[in-house]
Amino acid sequence: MWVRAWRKFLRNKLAVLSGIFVVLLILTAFVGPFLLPYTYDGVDYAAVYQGPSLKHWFGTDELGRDILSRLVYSLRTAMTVAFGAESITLVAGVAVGALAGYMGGRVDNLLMRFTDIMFAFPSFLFNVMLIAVMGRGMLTIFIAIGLTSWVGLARLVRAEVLKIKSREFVEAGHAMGASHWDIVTRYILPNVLGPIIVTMSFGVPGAMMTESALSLIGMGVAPPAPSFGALITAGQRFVLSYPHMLLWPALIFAFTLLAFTWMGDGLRDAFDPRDQ
Amino acid sequence: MLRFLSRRLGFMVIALVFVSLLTFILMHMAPGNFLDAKRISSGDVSGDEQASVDVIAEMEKRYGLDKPLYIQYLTYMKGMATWDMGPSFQFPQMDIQEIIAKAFPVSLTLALFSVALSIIIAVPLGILAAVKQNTVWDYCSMFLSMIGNSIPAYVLAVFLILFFSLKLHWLPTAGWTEPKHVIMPVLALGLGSVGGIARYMRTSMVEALRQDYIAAAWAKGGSFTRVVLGHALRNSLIPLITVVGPQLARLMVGTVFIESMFRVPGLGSYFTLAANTRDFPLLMTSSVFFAFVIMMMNLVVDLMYGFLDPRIRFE
Repeated sequence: MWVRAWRKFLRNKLAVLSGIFVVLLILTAFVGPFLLPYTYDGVDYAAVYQGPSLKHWFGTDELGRDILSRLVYSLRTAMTVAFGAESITLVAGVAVGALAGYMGGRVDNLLMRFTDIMFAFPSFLFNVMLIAVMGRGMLTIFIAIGLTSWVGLARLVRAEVLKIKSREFVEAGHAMGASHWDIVTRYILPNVLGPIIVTMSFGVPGAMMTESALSLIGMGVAPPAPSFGALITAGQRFVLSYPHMLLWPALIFAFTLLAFTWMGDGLRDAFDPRDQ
Repeated sequence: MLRFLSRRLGFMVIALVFVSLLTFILMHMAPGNFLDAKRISSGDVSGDEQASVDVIAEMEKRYGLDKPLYIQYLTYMKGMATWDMGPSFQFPQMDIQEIIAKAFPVSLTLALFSVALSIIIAVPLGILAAVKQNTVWDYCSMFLSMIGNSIPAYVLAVFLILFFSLKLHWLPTAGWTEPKHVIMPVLALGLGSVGGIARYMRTSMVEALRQDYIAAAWAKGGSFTRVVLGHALRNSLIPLITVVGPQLARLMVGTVFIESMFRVPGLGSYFTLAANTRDFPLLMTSSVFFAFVIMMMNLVVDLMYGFLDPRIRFE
């Protein structure tokens, strides 16, 4: 399965290019800060509102802060939040989904009604309120996003587990006396890994969007720490005089999201069991 | 039918109670409240301690914050049930139902205009993509759906601002006082949904064109207008409701960010403000109201689906 999926992924040029771009973005986000000549909050009143130049590749903002540095740190914020939120999603979604699907009966019913309500509740409202409770900060944001985004994965895992648990090889496992834990972790879950990876790869840009949306309405990471959403809000204020302050954050953010989505598309096609 | 409706409405009530409870609990777990913020901002901390304590006690009494929590909760719920929520913290001169009555039509206008815009563009595009597969129309709809799926409305809004305000000087960058102000928020919200709806339209049109009765219609010598726009379109529009409905609900939430970007005084702006300033009554009402609108929309979509397609039975 893995070799076939990998070969199929490699045949999709757009997905491979996006994958390379994603790796570069991750490197930029986590290694970039050490290479930058400026910090994200280094104020320089002698160099405010500068357009792109050799010294400041993407120009400077209203306080003379280097926009490139702020973009790199925004990317880091987005990535940290997204990966943090996705790990919560992974643990909660797989645990709840596998439990509901494998146990069936009353446990299944209870867990699924709970996900129904979570589904009906607009997760964005929940995010805003959780952040109001826990305070603004990187950690609280990814916890809030993680707590609201596991529902979809839980439903997917449950459906897959239901499909797989009646197959012969699982029955063989039962017959050989494997424990429930072994059945779930060794027999069933490895077969659900494909759909899980695909969901997660779409979850990352989704979490990034939520993070910057929260920061757009003033509920994201606390300033002066940058985020794409905060940069866009700031840039919009000065757009008529200094458009570079708005253009770069939006453009870089858009390409980041596109790269993740295209890579996700490639992964989805690669793991699609329908065409062999 | 009646059983279906009563079960759905019952579920909605339970979900709304859940939402209100969650909001209430989260609200009261939050460190600090509106009055603290007020005290700090008015500089009373260093001044006359006793006077400010008295004022706070007085205000707490007026807003019922001195009562036990369950009484406070029940008061909120009673207020919402009778549509009389009392004044908000932030706007003491206005009752909350007045704020909602003023702000909700604004958000609804945005959402309805954007849905209308996306349908007007998406349906013809979807038909063209289905009839002329693998042509420029097909790729155009694919491109738009990709953009719409991966780039949020507030980022699209940036490119619209750069184009219409900076480059062409046609539209103001933000505000909500003249009709001109409606254009960019609606474009930003609507364009994102065009691709998705067009792709869906294409799929269901392709499906409809494969049916026997369409072959019969062609065989009888029906024109393009008659066969495609008369017979096939009618049947391919039904599944469209399933995407447009959730889209409308998504737009309602999406308006929160677009409203904040374009400074539109809609429900989303008030919700954000309420959360940022710990305006408990306003936050409580707006979050329950949001949830109510979204669930109601989903229910209406399900009902319409059944009315339009007689093959569907409610159970």
